[in-house]
Amino acid sequence: MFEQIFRTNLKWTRVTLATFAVAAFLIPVMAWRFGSPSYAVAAGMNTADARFVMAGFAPVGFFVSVIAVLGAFVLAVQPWNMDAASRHVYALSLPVPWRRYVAMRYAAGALTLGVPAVALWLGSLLALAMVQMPPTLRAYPGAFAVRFLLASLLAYSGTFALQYVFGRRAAMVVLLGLLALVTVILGLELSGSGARVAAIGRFLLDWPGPLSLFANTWRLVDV
Amino acid sequence: MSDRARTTTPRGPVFVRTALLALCVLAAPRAHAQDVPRSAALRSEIARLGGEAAAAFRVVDSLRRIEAPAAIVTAGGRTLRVDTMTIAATEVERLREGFELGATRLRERFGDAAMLLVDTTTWHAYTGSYRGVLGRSVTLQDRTLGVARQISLSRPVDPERVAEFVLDRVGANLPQLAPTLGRYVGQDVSLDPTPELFEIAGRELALSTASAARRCALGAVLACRAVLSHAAGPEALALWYEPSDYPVLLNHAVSRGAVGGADSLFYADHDACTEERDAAACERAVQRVNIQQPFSTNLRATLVQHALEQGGRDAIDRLQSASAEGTAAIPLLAHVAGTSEDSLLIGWQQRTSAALAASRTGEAPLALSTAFWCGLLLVGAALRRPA
Repeated sequence: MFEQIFRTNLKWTRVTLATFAVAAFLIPVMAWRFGSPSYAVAAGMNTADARFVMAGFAPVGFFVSVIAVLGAFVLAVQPWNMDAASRHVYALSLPVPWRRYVAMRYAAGALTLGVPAVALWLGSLLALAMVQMPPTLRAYPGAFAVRFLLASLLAYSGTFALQYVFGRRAAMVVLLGLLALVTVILGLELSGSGARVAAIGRFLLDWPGPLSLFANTWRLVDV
Repeated sequence: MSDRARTTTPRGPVFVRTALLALCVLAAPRAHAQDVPRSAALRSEIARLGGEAAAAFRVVDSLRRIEAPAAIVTAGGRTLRVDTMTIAATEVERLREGFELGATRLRERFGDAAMLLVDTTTWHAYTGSYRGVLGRSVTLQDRTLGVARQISLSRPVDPERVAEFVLDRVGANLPQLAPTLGRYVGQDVSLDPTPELFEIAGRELALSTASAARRCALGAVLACRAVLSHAAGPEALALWYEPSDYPVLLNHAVSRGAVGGADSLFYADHDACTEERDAAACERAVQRVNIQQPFSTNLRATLVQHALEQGGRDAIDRLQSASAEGTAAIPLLAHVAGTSEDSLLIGWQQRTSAALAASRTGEAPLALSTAFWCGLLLVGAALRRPA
């Protein structure tokens, strides 16, 4: 049954999946090819200069993290929309408990996230092959792709849970949640309890917080 | 007068405010019953009286502040001037606790001699108002050497942060014990160095335009010695740079305006160097550049911090005993650390590399935490079954 669900999931999301995989593959190469040469010439640098290499790959982390979140969001929403269009009749008619069905639907979507991650890894290797790496720098294509995969999984899980718990009201719930968060932060700041705002920030961003993945800059190349 | 007595809120303004509040409460139903113009007049009168009461309250406050000098709070044998007019007794106690903690840590790390550093610092705590609109923070200042450095502490004051501030600030007095050190570093040295400072130093070495720094990042001790030394003019050029660095050096010098009498000949050499990599042109052009220190003062500050930590409880004693004028900085720091110059430099370089490595969060812990949060979300997703 899982195989059928996986195939259906793949059929529904294949175009989106391919788009994000291509984007993930191209970002490192494009960043290096179009982001750096003019800067290098202006600064009189050669491609073995450590600062030049760091500057060339600097935008990669940002764009890749955006792709990770955006791609996972779309890949989670699409199958749910298809199910919701038929009022989940297919899912409810299956001879399996609802929880098992949700787990299989989740696993099917999560498996597809590996495709853009592999594409990013290959794209990173290609981009790094174009660079004369200075001795003080190191490349981390594997770790970079793993981080991309983990961020995709987290964004996918969050969107998946919101959709399955709140259904069509998910967007409204997210907006209300953000509004509540901003109100609480403003209230704490205005009442002079800035330490509590910092504590909230630490909970979210420090390991093992839910957003700790995004706390550090993602670097394909680092010292 | 006791601390408690000083912190008591003035009774006069409170009485005025209470009376106003009672007046408002009593006036409200009556005003409601009146016609609209009468009600508006009452509101305006209440607003006027409220404004006058607030102004009177401010005058009384300022007069009392002048009358009551800042209290001297003793903490670990040190003194801390606290404006107890506006800081509650409980917060003063927390400040005192923080000072005790800071002094204890300093003594544990650097022995009794380090207490000299605290004694020569002037501390002052007062109420700040920029942190929040409704609440007010406590500002703690170090007013040594006529320069105020401060932190803003949210209420309730965290003694841990006070202790960190003490350890961070007392290092500013190191030059009083060893003037050589002050001239060498060029900035205040925190006695509570964070790994981030060493990470920044390691990053600066690896990404520097100067070959010496990059060689140091790779572990060459002689290069580290060159990077951590002061130099100027042609000596600096030879010490820090190699001919392959000249194009970048020239571009930086031109953008900073650090070229003495740049004329058409210089720019011809500059272009030939940066565009055609003409070695002779590079050589001629760099002679016209005013070579400036390409490294931040943080690099030397981390060396001092490393030496003091290596030296441990005897470090400050050694610093005092060996700080005769004319002693070069790196030999002095090696003496403070109780080791040889090479060992000191190797240890420092390894520490910067280790801090850099530690700054990169491994993928395994991230994978674990992500698995946990994803699992939690999946359980949540499976809870609700559509009708």
